[in-house]
Amino acid sequence: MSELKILTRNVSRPNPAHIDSYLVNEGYVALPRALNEMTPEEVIDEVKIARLRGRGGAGFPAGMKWDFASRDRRKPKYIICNADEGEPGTFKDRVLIENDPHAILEGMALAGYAAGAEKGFIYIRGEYPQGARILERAIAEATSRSFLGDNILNSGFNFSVTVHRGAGAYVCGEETALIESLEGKRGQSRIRPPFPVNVGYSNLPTVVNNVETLASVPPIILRGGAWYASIGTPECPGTKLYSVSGHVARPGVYELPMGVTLRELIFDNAGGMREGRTFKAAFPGGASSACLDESQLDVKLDFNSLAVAGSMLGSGAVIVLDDTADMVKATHVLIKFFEHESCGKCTPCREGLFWVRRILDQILEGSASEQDLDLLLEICEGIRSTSFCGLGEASVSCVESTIKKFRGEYLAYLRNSGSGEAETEAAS
Amino acid sequence: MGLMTNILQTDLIKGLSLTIRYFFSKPVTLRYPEVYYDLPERFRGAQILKRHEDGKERCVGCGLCAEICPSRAIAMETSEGEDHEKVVNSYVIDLGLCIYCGYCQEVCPVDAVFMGQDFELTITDPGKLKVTKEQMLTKGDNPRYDRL
Amino acid sequence: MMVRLTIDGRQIMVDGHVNVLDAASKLGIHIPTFCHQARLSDLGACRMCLVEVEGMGKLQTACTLAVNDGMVVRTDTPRVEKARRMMLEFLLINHPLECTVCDASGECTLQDLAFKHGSAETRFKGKKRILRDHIISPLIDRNLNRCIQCKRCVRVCEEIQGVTALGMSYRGAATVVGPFMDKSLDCEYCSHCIWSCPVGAITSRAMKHKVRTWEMEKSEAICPYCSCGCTLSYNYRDNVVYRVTHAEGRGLNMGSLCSKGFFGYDVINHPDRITAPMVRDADGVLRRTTWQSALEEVARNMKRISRESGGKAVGGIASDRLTNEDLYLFQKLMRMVFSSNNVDTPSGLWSRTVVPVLEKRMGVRAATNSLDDLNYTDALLIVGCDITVANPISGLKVKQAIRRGGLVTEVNPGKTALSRLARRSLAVPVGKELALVKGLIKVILEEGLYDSETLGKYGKFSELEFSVRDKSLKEIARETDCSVDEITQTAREFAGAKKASIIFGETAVLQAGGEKVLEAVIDLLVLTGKLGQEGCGLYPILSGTNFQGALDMGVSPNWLPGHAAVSSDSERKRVEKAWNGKVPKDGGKSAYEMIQAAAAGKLKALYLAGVNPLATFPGGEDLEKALKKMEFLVVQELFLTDTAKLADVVLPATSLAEKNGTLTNVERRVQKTSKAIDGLGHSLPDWKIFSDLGVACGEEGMNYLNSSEVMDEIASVVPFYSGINHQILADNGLQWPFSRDDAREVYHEGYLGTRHLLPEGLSKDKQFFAAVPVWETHSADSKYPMTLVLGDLLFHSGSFTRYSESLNQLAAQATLLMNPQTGMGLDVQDGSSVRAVSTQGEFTVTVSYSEDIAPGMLFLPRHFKNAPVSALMIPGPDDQARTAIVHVRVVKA
Repeated sequence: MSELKILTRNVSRPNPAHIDSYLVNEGYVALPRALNEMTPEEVIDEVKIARLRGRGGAGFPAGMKWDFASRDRRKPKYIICNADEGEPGTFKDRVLIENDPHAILEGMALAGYAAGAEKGFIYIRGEYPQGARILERAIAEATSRSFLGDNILNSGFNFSVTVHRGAGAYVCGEETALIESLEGKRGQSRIRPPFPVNVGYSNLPTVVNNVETLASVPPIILRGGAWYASIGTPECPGTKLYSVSGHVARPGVYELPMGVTLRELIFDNAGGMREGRTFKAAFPGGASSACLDESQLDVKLDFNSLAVAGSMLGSGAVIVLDDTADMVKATHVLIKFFEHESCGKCTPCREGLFWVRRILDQILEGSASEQDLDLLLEICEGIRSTSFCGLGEASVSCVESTIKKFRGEYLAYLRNSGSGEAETEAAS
Repeated sequence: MGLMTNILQTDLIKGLSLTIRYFFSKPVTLRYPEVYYDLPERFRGAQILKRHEDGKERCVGCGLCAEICPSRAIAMETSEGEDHEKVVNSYVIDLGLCIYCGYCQEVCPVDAVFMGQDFELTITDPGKLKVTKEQMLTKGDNPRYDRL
Repeated sequence: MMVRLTIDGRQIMVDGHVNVLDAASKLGIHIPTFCHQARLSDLGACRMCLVEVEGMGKLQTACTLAVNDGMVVRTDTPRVEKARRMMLEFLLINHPLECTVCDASGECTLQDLAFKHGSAETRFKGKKRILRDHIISPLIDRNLNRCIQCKRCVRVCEEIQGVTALGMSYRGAATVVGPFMDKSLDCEYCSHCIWSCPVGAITSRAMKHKVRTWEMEKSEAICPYCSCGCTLSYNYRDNVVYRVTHAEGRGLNMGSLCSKGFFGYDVINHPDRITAPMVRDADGVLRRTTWQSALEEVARNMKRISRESGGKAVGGIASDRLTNEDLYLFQKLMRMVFSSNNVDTPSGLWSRTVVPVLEKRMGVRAATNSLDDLNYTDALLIVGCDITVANPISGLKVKQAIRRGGLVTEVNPGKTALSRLARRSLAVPVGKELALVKGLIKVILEEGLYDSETLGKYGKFSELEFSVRDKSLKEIARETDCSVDEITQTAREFAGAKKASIIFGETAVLQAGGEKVLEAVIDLLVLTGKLGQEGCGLYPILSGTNFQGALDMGVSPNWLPGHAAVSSDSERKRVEKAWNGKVPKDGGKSAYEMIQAAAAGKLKALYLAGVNPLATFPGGEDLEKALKKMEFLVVQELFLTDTAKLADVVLPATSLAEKNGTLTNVERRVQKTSKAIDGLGHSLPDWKIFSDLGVACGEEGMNYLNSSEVMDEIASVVPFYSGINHQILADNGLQWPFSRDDAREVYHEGYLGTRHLLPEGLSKDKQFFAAVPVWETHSADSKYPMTLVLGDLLFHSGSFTRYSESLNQLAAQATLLMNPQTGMGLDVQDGSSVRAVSTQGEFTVTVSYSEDIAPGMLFLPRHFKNAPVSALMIPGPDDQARTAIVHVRVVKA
């Protein structure tokens, strides 16, 4: 399957972030059309027809989210663009933010029109200072041309956007933690229900959408939901930005229709494995997804197929590992990340990940026993089933999947009390 | 039968033979207080307090012995020390109340209090039955408690 | 809406807003939890309360799960048990195993749950996380390693106390709880965090390592430190009170306490307590003696002076910290045995300024409504009162109202703890409160915001309109340092609210002409129709613990028990009949008048019960001279105070923790306080001393077996206490008026007496407006241009708490607070010494800058020895002597 450029249509253009570049290629056409010719309900219907699913990781239908928010009678309402792209291995939103900010803004304005919101926030991760500057410039440009601000294009619709930079917490990518952070509080998830569509920012109805989701909206309005639904698989239509990283020849962001297989992504698009190396494993949805091994190369990379395969699409961050990789060390790196990023709110995630990391330390040091592996699985199960939010639930899938698929490598460490590394090299 | 026994005085002979046997065997009674009985290891005498090797008291003042004591013989005063640690200001066991059940030793989580070997507690002043922490620590310093 | 659900196979009907955890507890099923606490927001963080719900895949937290009709919940499955064991194992990997020295041991939720659900062994190997810790406060101890991050302390600090002194920082396993930037704790020391901590992470340093929790017995009592009347629990061992704990869910405070209530207990077992009676011998030295000889000495001298010079030469002042029984017997003793109506309390000034106005205007002599109403008030006006200091727990209720969206406007000379939270804080200069209240009336009249029912009764408000005619809103705004907008908005909010009340305090009334403000405030309430219903009323608040009880018991020169006038023959006859004795006919002298009479040599014997005039009364050196001049001075006290050192006889009394009795709080609630420990040494409860003294004087009518017997007599003499006895008060306080008929109602659930007065509105003869013609209560003398507010600190209560080591750690010295701007104008630096001079006297004190004080104002706490406010205050007839406001000149020392 080859690339299909819908989201990345403007990326390779000269000076792509500038409003003029955006306007040349059907930019800000969808917004006036929606404002002049469509009711908010029709915009929602169009997105529903497109069956656009949220690209942040959960895959919740965007149209339904907007619908819920528009039905809530309380005002004001808010649109939040989740640009807190913190998942290890994910860098797709950055491409859109830096190269096509106006598509995001137009998408936000359309979402605002549909849901009845007049205020938008872009919560961008603190590590993207350039992205924040580009977005702020884009907002100024769009406001000066009346694509944002009060009475947009004389339609009577007001919509303004503010950029808010995060302070470096991974958990703030979770929508309720993001809202807490945006309110100036400590970045920790809230109890759900109620969901943000009803009780969000300042306890008012709030739609939180991923950058990629919002950027997909203008083409849908422009070309119709039916057109969009025809791309990709029936359950998960449209194109998806895949961030491919790791031991491939050409890492990068690839836009492909949903349902592309892992093999097609790696070998047809990302240039295959590095010279002389063979595929060993891949995390298809970033650090929080379960890994796939060689036997699963033909799994389709969409929400449903990956769920069936025991993993998840997440944000579409494909981390590829070749035969030189030490899966235990890789897992240790990932767990250290999650332990560091655990917000500390709930017991299993805070204390459990601390413990998991300690056991992995001990495995690498060679001071662990085989019972510890079972203990590790028990702890992981405990964390996964009792954590407060998605961070804890997903954090242990790397441990569980690597123990399941590469138990031999763990055992090698256990048997050789510290010198397991050489053994693994030899075994592979 | 009865007549023969009477004539031969066999009972007397039997009895005398026992006497004679014991006369020549090692005596069971001791000439206390010149001689001391070798007490069994788990004898429950008056309590002693142990120290750590560095000389610090083992007792942390948790109060469990005072709580478990069936005859309420233990009284304890604690306070905050200079380094905000817990200090035992006084630890008094009233041996007049103590029933030597050994619960205090059993419950002690830090192996500080033990039932000692000291059983000579007869005194003329009942007030002296109250044993202080310092007295018990001194007793505990006796080398015979080194194994504890 | 009620829903039916099944928990562990048992069905229950509950309200639809309840969560599963509470529903289960109604069935007696205890679901373990750490982070859930009643009155706090839900967090769902500890994951201890996981339950299995049919139809839901994952285990759910019971504390955040709302009940649903037909829900089937299981709390006892192996899966739930496993999850609980797992959570405990998680928490214990980093929790230090130092239960042996942890002060929370014995009442630690983690300890209890680990015992019940946990495993005896840990599978965790390696080093525990160890966080660096340091002392954050003199009274509150934090131990980071014991913390289980349940956030209860953080939430209670924010949601109940409204202080936000604690927060969480860092992430994951390194999460720590502490003050901002982990500096030292800057808070109100309300102790809620200590209460809410389920483990030993936040504990009281006042009892650190002193005692184990299981060694103490608990006894519920009423807090002795202010008129709020909170229920607390004394924890004692071997006749020593080791700590105070919160009586969860009990009393009008629902267990909440303030710094004084929680930390102030060390006064009780203070080493300086007097434990035996003392009589001055021939050498002029106070010597210990027996009760018998001390009482004989008192009886002989008092009787003699009363006989020789008449009852008018004898007087008595009793503290409003005493119980109703104490106070009742005190005035009975003075009136019947020593034939004198010279009885008063230090709060007598309030009884003679505020109470007559309340009586004249509304026919009541107390707050009209319940403190609980404050929780739900929509609009609240606070005039001249820092409610968070005068009545900290009432302050919490106001904070709850604010959290619920209640519009609170504060009119005070300076900023208070509420200013940050309230809708509006108006810093109105002292003397101009009247202008502000009249401004509000003006807006309401001009905009027609008054109550239509009131209009119907009055026809028109011409008199009132006339009184506010001569100043424009702009002028009023300029005078009161507010904006026109602030005044109009306040007026609109107040008039427009469904439930609106006014809190009225000392600063406004205890200044010359203060009762005019009260008149205007009542005009405002009548005009807007905010009287006589739930949530609408007037709260005159004085901080003296039992000031209301003292008034009800007749510790007043002009009133007999039950607010009966001494001058009324029929009332006097009624009391005389009940006592089977004589009550003198002429009205007596007030406390200040007694001192003056003493100075003039007219008053020869004085009986002081729990009062230390040298610390709190006006007069300075003159006062001391007057006391020294006294022929016979009896001081009944806990400590050998400066006044007690002058006495001829010193009688050791007991603290509130050592006696049974009743107290009447600011909302007219009569509550029983119970004895926790026996009186120290030979000290006796005050009522017992009065009773014994009466008997020593040969009056058998003063013989009582216990305080309950005294209460029974009170119930027969005070009409609105009839039906009240110690048994009926055992569980709950009752708000008077209470009658014998009501007694039957007590056993009905939730019957708490008369929750609000004036249900029928004002009676016909009270339906008028005062229409105060003037705009200011008084103006400053140009020689003494600064206005000095003498007030209380949150951490102290009168001069009594000076004996508390703990509270002294929070505040031990008085400093003169002034705005930096004022300081600059006077060329006085922060920390430098100044002389404060009033018409009466002067002393030297250290200045400390505070932005909370309005420019031109000064604030001085009146608790401390280093700033004897007595020297500044002006003694004199009541209408001149005001104890809250003094005009002074400040000179560099």
